[in-house]
Amino acid sequence: MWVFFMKGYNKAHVKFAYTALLPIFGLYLILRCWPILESFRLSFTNYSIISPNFSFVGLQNYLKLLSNDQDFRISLINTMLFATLTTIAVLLLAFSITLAMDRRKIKSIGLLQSLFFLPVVVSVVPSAIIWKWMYDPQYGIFNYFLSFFGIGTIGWLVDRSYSMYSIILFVIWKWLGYFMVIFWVGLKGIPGVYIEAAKIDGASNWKLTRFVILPLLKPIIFFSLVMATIKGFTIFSEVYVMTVGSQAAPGNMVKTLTYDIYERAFLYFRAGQANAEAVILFLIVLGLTVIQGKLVRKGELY
Amino acid sequence: MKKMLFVLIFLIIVMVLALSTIFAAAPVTITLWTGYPERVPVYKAAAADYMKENQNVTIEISPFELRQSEQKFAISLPAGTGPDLFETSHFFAHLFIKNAMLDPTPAKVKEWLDKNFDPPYLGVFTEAGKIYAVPSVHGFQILYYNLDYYKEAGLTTPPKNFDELMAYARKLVKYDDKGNLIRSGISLRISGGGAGVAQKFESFLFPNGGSVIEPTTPGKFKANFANEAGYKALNFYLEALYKYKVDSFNIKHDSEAFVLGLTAQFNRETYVIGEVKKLAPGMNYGIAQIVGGDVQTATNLNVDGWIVPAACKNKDVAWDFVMYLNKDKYLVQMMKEVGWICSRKNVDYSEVYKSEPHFQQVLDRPEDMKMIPAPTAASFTEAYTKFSSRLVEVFADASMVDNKEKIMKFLEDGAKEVNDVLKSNDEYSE
Repeated sequence: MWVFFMKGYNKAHVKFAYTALLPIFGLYLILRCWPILESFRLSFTNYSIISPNFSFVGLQNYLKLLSNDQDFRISLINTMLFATLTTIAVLLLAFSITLAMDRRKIKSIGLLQSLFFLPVVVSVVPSAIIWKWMYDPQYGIFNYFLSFFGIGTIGWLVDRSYSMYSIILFVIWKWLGYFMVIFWVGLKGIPGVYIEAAKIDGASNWKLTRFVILPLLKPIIFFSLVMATIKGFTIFSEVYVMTVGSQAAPGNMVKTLTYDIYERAFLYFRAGQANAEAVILFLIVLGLTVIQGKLVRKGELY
Repeated sequence: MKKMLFVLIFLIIVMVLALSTIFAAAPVTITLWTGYPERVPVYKAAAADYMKENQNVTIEISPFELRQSEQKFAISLPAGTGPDLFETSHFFAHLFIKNAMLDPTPAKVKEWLDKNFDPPYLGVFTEAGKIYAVPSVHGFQILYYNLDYYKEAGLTTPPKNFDELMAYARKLVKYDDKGNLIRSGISLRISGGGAGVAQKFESFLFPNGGSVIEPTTPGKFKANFANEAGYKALNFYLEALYKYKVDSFNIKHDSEAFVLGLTAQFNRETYVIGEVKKLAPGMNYGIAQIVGGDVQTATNLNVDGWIVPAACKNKDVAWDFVMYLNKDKYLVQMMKEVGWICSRKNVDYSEVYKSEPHFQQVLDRPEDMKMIPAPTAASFTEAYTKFSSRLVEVFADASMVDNKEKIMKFLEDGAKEVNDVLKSNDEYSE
């Protein structure tokens, strides 16, 4: 039956390929699809983790979240703000730096690329702890630099005016290298003849970028946009580490949806509600991905 | 003949081996989980001695970060894959008691508990007259104050009430030339996630008769801070931050600030004595009971306990090891090396007192000092965490200082949310 999908190929080869892929498909079903389906199912129950007994409650969990749940509302607003700001900032920065590096033909470009990529390979928890120290009001490097300009100490994480932006800054630092690599690959994939032709026609740097590079980078931009949005909407460890302890960021000020899901499931043992929130998050990310896809694909794809 | 002799010897050897196998105790492995990694050296020492005395027993100790340990207990116990023995706080233990995942302590252990522990430590693990855990260590808040700073400000005795506490803080606070706070007069818990902010806030509620939640009838609770006690406590924080500027968001807090000399005084659990000894051994500081209020002098009481889950296959060995852990030798080691105070009575700590007299001061607490255990409600974490989040927001609002109407409105909204949490777990009653 499934051979139907691969017309023109040798049947025996296709059978072998599918058989070889079966274990991976099996694992994918068990480790990916089944938990997602189970999450959908549990979202309609009052499952609590700690008690083996639970029952079907219909849409109750969804109605609670969408009607009067302050934590959900705050988390949703924070997550949207967080995802929007990080996505815009990180993509703009990554694109600009990569483009600048590509144009300048810097000698030690490998070293620069490694420096930018280094934060990506460092685990989130240790790097978040290091940043927590950098944000320290007394001994942190940020306040130390500000002191040269006569600016007093700032509680970067503790002060509600700065806490969200402090975490965003950390996240930009952490993700920048990853998106730079993506853009780098995209830029290298643009045939040199297009660039040369545009230059011969007298295109300025801005026009070259606007009318040649950006349109040719559309698939890469779409991929980066989707990835950054998903990463922004599902951020957890960065917020978790930054809110642990008495010197940490205030709870609700930086609470995101994934953090709220964690709190509901593992601190309050309201796993039914947590699953409902996870389903809502899934739908939001799915919806945004579809919209972004349509927007970016609008017009010609090269 | 030779053949017969050989067969006889062979049979004797087989019989001896068979008998020795029958009479030798079967190997037993006890897995122990704790959410307090700093206590592990003591548990390891006890386990090593216990294994020497009981060669068939192996004790495997796994420490986890506190919140992580609670999640592991919550997930593994219902699945029957939990440890044979674990240590957790009394309020968290009640989640398992209520969900019938624990058995009461056996008669032998109960008898031993009655002889060796005071009722308050057993009461927090008791449900319907049955005890479910052996108390390990306990903590309660006390006031820590820097004696050098007190001397510098001309203060000779610790404060007795809230007015004195604020007056002292105002004398002790220090600013630089530009008016930036460089030493807080008092370090308050004003930020961070989790339930900690509300728990620390309670030391300012208790003295005036308030608490985040209070028991009403057995198994039922209600919010108890939308009242005068709540107003006084919250306004104290706001005055400290905005009116008298003795604390700030822009300075370090908690024990870290204390050992670094960045605060003059603060309330914290007894374990800080051990921390100061380790991190700032030469520090000249005093301790006192937290200040009293119009109603009482009271502090919180958090007791950790050893629990053997119902699914444990070697309950006798697990309970036996718990009793072994309570030998003087290990309890003294716990106080001396880690700084936690164990709950068993009649332990000779004189050796520790010589090197660290603060512990004696802590244990010789006055008769009138009331110790209020954290409520055993299943809603505890959710109610306290949600109220903490609200508090953190209001601490940042300077317009609230001395504004009774706004403060009461905030407290009433908070109390409603806490009561809603209790109601959703069927734990609310007026």
